[in-house]
Amino acid sequence: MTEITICSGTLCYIMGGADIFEIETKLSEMYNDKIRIKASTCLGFCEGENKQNPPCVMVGNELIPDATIEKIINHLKRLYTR
Amino acid sequence: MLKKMENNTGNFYIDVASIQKEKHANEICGDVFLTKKVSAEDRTIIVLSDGLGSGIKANILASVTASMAVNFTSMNAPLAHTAEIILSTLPVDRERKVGYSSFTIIDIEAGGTIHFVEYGNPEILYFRENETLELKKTPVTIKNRFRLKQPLFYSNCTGRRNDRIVVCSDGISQSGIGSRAYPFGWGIKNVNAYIRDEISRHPGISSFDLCRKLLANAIANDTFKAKDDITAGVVYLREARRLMVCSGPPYDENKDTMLARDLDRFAGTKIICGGTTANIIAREMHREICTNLSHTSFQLPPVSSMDNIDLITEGILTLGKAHRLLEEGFKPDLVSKDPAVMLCNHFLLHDEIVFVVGTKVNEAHQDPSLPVELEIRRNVIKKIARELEDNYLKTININYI
Ligand code: FES
Repeated sequence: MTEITICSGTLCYIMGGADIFEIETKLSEMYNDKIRIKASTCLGFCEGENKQNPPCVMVGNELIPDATIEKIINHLKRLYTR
Repeated sequence: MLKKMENNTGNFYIDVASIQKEKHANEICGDVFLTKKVSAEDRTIIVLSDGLGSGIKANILASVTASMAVNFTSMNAPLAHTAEIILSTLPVDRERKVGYSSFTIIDIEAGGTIHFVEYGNPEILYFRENETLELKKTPVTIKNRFRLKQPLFYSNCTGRRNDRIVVCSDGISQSGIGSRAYPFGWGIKNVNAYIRDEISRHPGISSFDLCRKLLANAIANDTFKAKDDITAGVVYLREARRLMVCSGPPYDENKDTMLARDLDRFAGTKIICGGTTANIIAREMHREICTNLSHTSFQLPPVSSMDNIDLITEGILTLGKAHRLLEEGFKPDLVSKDPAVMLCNHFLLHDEIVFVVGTKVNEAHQDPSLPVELEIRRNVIKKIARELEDNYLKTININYI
């Protein structure tokens, strides 16, 4: 089971994170029992040393900066076709 | 028409509401209900005046009476003097040789002492723990060139938390007059019994709701055509409902623990506006935050939850929308899942609101290339506070950390 954690902090939200909440409707059914979608308060990547480009999404333990639904799906594909 | 005023006096909160209905086929109510907060002394003055007759003339008589009563009382004028001035100012009715409106004055002092002055209106009903309290009334003598239709009474008592005072015009007590159920009108005894019954069934009933019920009953007694001007006013000395809203990380990280502890120990409702603030508190209290994914359709980030916290919202966007809602005139909507509406509901349902505002600035929010301009947290909260204070009569405190 892979967890997808969408950052719903202010910055990620306004930088496109709001659209990522749609991901559930865009995922192929094959992932139904393989992933779980969550939201989170600010993941802490919008400031400081670990600064990354928002919106940030975690897929499992891996961070996807500048995330889009497409990017996440590609990442999942790689993960599950390995 | 509904009016509402609230004031905080020491150990209880004064929730005042009134409701009015003009006599059937009249345009204006001949009763006037006024409230005044004397902020400097933390006093609340409430006056009900019923002008002789009905319509515009009655309304003018009652307005003059009520405003004089409020003003003289707030200036601490001796009661007999106030009554004399009111009576000598009002014109005399030729036929009935009486010239006045009746009035009731309730003056609630900061320490909890309540003074009552009653002249001509149905008697004040005072409720404590399901009982009607007998007020010991002293007649007040005034210069005898005034022909008093009824005696003028003074009484006082010390208010306690959960007491209720009900004052009404004779449109309530005489409603239904001539009907089979109440040939002599509903009667103050029946009104009294009705209210006691309501309070015992709904111990937390708001002043608003009790007023509404009294009016609905009176109008029903009059078979839905009010036979007289009707006014009901209710004063409820209830426990203040407190709310703490924490928003923003403290400027100094060493204060994180203090912030978390203060919020955790706060006796009242607790809200966090801001993800980073929520993260700090979760970390300090070793608790988990759970973000609710099911309501993401309000152009605002979704709400989250944590043990012992009543609501967690995102910060600046949600506060901004809450401010707009308040500005437009907000009415509670308890079913909405919009985070800003949920926040505003809490604002309106509480009396005393403490904002704990962290002053650390989120540098990333100040980037001019962002697609929306993010306001400074402190400013939005100041605007919300002003709105709540001026237009929603809340008691507000803002602490910056
Ligand atoms: S808002 Fe997403 S990482 Fe801070």
